[in-house]
Amino acid sequence: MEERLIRSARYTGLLALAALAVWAYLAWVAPVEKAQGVIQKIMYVHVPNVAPAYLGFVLTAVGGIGFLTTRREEWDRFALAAAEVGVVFCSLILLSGPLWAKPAWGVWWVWDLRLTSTVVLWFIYVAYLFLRAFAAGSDSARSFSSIYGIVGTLAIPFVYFAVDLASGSTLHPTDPSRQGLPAGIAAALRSGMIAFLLVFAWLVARRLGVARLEALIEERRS
Amino acid sequence: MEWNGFVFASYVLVLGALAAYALRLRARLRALEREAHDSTPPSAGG
Repeated sequence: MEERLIRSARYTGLLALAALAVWAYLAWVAPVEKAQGVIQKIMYVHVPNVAPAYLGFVLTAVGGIGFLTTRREEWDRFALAAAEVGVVFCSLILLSGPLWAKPAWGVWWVWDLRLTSTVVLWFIYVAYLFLRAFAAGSDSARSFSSIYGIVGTLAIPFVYFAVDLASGSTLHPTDPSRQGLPAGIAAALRSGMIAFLLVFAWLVARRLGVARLEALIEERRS
Repeated sequence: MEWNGFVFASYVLVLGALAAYALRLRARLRALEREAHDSTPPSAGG
């Protein structure tokens, strides 16, 4: 599995580039939304980070389950690669959001349920990466990281449904897929989601390649 | 399209960060490939 995933980077990279070109074109030609004006175009580069971040964290749990059931290190490396790339996308959610919030709300940040729970999710997986960095190598550390990665996914539904849970007291807009969007805006958003998921797949494959080589070199040294 | 600094900054930030991360991974891969090649035992190196 690992070898196939690493080799997949060759074509996922090309597919991602093509999809990014389509997304950039559709985001450029999408109609300017009447209520928000041009700042609504920030949504095309903010919202597509969400699915790769969640997917990265779910795949961390998949890797953890794979490791705990098979004890094969390739599952553990897969979990690490997915978590790191997931954190990259989650960081981009948190950084691009305020660039829309400032002109839309007049403030960079509000501590509402969606934003706060996203920060908590980010901290959970940054802590996972620290755990991996400082407790690398032993089988017990891998087992603990696997369990941590599995438990961490429990936060995802909470973040996703935070806007509903806040029942109107949050400033954050609802999921765009649940709104009736004009065709041009929906196409730009959907193409962004596809392009960013392909970028995610490419980055995970590359990160997995790094992790496998690190393990190989470590093995030769010991 | 109307110019807006926030829109421009958001695209530069996201695409720039992804490109920077991809380049970092590429550099790390290259360095590890060199290291793996150098550490190959003579009998296995062919």
